[in-house]
Amino acid sequence: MINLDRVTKDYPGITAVDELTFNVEEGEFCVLIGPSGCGKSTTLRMINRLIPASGGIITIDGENINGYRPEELRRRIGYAIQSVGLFPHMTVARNIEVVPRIMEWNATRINHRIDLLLDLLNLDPGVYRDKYPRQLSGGEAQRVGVARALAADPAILLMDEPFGAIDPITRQSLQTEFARIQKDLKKTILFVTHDIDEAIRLATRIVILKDGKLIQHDTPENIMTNPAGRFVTEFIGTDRALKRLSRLPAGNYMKKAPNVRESDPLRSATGMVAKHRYLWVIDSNDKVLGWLDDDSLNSGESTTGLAMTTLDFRTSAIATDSTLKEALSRMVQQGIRSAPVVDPMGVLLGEIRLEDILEA
Amino acid sequence: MRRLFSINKVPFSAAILGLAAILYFGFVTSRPNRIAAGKSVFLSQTQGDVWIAVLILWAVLIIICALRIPGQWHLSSVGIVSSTLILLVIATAAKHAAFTAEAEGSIARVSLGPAFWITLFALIVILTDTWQQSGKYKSFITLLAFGTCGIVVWMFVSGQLDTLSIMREFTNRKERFFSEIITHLALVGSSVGLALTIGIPLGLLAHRNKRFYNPTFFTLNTLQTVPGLALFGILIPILSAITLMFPLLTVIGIRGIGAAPAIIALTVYSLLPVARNTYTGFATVDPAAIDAGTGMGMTRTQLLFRVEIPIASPVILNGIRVALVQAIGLTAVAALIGAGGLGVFIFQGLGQAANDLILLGAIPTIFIAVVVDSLMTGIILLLQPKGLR
Amino acid sequence: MRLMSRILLTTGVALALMASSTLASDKVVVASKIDTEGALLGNMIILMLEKGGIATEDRTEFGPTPMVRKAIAAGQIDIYPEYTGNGAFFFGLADDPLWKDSSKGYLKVKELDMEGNSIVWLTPAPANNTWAISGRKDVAEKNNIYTLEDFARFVNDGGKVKLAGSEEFVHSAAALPAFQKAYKFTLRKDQLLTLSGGNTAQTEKAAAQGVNGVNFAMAYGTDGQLAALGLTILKDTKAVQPVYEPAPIVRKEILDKHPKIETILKPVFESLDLVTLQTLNAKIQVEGFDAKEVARGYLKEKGFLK
Repeated sequence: MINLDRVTKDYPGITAVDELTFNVEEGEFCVLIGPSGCGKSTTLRMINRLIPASGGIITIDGENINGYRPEELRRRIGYAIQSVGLFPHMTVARNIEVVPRIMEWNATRINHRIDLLLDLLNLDPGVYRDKYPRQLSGGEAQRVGVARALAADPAILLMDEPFGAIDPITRQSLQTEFARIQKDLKKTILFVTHDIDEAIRLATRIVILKDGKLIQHDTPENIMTNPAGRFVTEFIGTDRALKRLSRLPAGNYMKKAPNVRESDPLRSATGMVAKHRYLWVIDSNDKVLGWLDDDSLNSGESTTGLAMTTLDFRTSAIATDSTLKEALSRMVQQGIRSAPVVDPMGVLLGEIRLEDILEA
Repeated sequence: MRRLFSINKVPFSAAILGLAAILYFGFVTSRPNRIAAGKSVFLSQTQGDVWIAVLILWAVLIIICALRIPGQWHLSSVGIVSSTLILLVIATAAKHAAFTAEAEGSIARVSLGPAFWITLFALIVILTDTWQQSGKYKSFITLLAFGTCGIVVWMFVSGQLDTLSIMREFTNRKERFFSEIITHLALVGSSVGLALTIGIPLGLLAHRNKRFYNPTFFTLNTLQTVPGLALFGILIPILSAITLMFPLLTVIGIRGIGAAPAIIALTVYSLLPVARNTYTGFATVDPAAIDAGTGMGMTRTQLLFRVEIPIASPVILNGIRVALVQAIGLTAVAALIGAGGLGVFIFQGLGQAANDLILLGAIPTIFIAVVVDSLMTGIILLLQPKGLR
Repeated sequence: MRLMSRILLTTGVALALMASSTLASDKVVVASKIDTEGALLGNMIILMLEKGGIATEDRTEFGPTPMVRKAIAAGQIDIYPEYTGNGAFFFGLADDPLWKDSSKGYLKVKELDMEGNSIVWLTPAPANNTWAISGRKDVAEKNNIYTLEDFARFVNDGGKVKLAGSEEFVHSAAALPAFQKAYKFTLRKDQLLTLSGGNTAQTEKAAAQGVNGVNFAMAYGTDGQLAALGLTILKDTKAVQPVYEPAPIVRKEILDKHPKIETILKPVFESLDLVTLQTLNAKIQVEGFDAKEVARGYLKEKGFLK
């Protein structure tokens, strides 16, 4: 869908981008990454002509981007930057509707779109519509920025280190959310970052740049298994294996979890414990409450519910949409070899054991 | 004893200051004719007995300012007492002047003395401070202030203040006074208006193109340091020479003297605040917002009108406010080169050694400056985009 | 957009202001210097011209002497009252004794201004508004000082003297130095208080109030406030000073256009003698009446106006 053919950008004394050639498929999440000064931001900004290219051709759907008036081109491409750049004198709603207004959408359509986008980004429209940028936290502001970029429903979204200025905790959740949004919207996204973990987590394909030149352009898996040279190897880092785990959702690797109800008498569990060495105890709603092992059998209590060791699913269980990397991290943290996999309400869906992770 | 008193600092100090003034300085000055030497008349010596009420209420004021009373009662009572005192102080002076006119004829003059001005100032300070301190009762105090102004205006219009010396000067040249006010306002309006048409584009240009910043502001800063009278003086021969070369200019009213050099000089002085604030206003716009706006597909004009100007406008409006207040004062000097305005009375008074004629020019000038300043501040507050407060 | 319309509005006002001052181009621009007598005579001129059917523009109390001279030379004002004696300074003939003769001085300045500037001097008023020294009545009476000769004697006898005068008065060869030369006295620096402005109102007020020990003051012959301030003029028995008679001076171009200006103003100015001018000035200065009203009152009283 987006094609760069020997695109070059020269500045006096330095070539920022050198005969860059690659393409981005429709619906792809393409991450541009590289060390500082590698030309990733410059490349991004040449696509919406904020920076004029010195050489080469950029086409979108086969049409040369120079064939349009710059403003017209940009209105059909979403643009989100690190410092967000919200207009401080306008409310969230008015910020979002800037481009639709320029394109003269009617008011109902605009309002509908604003509510839809705010919902999509987990911001309650009733609360956030009339807030001003100075009243928003960093994460909220960035979300509004993304909503604004998506306002006119562009097919392409350009993002320049959008999560770079956010604290790590918020960044994690924003990444997760964004991955989910992308599944729903299926936009073609060009995403610049310097964070390799972020790239590996989110990208369909990664473009690695160094000194303005293309070093490798491939899926994250392929890059990790077949890095193109020493630079890429070092860039990815020595914990490749762990990084790989962040691309695997826990839900795909869970096994069936042996369980028993809390109200069941202790004696009934004896056989199962002998077979599986431990059991998960659930309530009548299938919510996981604790676990049983050999020692619990000797406690002398009457029901499993009284004999079990309780656990808090919020700290000790794995969410289905978390990655294997997060699962491993949690198990190491809690010092456990297996953990229940639950849904947001705590309902037991399966279990993951360390062995399963190592086999992935 | 401690629990009884809680001194409200500002009003208390102002009230004490006023009391000291009443005791040590003349309240009004009496003179047999317009230019003879005057004799100080203390408050207690004024005719008409109003001064007794003034002293009593003043004592009440001092006591209230020192007592510990619950918030709203305290502020309301201070407000009421000080507004009443403003009216009484003015009435005392007017009454004395009326008595003097009866006794000694209309040639005698009664001028307002130091004690009058100090007590009036003290009372205004107290009222302003009370207004600022009042939270929920702000509207009540505002009403009080407006009411007091209204009554003073009524006193003025109904002729009760006519026997005061400054009012005699006014009565003797009423027509000229009003025409000079209009001239004064026209001079200010046209010069600041011109400064806007030149200064705003200049400031914008300096912001857009860094090369223009230095020459622009170096020139404007230097021009600003030229003393007003000197600039007028320089302009006159220049303009006279130009009008001799191009007599057609006289047809449209540009002469070497009068309004033209005054407007040119006033425009020059108004340029700096306008241009500088325009530059600063635009400079406060977050570059990230510009980048985002451009990247979203806004044209230069759309960015300018929908983003930059709304964000820059409070700062620019402030520059206009400064230019206006400055121009109002400077225009007083323009009278010296035949441009007219309230300065005419100041210089006539200086020439005739008649102080109240000087005041007839000076006080309205100050009053207009204060009113314009307050109006502009109000406008700026009203127009400020909510997101920027 | 508010900004744009504001800009347009104020520019429009500016242009209108400038345009409005052109509409007066057919009117005769009457000016005067910023002083009491100037305002009085200027307003008399306006009232008489208006009565005679000539439209005028009031620019009285315009500015100081140099400003007014520049303006009439440049054709920006048309007529104003000037003093015959000033011809000495305009034309650099300060030392010439002819200025001490009223008719000789008048004829000379009339000739020179016509030749050099096409300005016509009309009939002057028989009032000598010349520089003088005045003193506090009490001091004068106590020490028998009535003439400048008496003053010189008082100074030379070591009497306590402090004279307030303008910069010009103290340093101009025709003023104080001329007095000192003729009457043979010299005032030391500590006996002088020099003010930068030329107005006698300030100097006389200083003497009347005894400010800084001042007991004598520079004055003009026709000053109206002398009596009210308790000051008396010391007679210039040796006629040191040039004669300063006020006369309307007008641009030749304007006079050619309205020749009757001359005949209209002649009887009025001829009626203004020293005492009359002093009285009228006093009305404005001491009693505070508006110059225009005082002028109108006088003209009505004398039958020049109905």
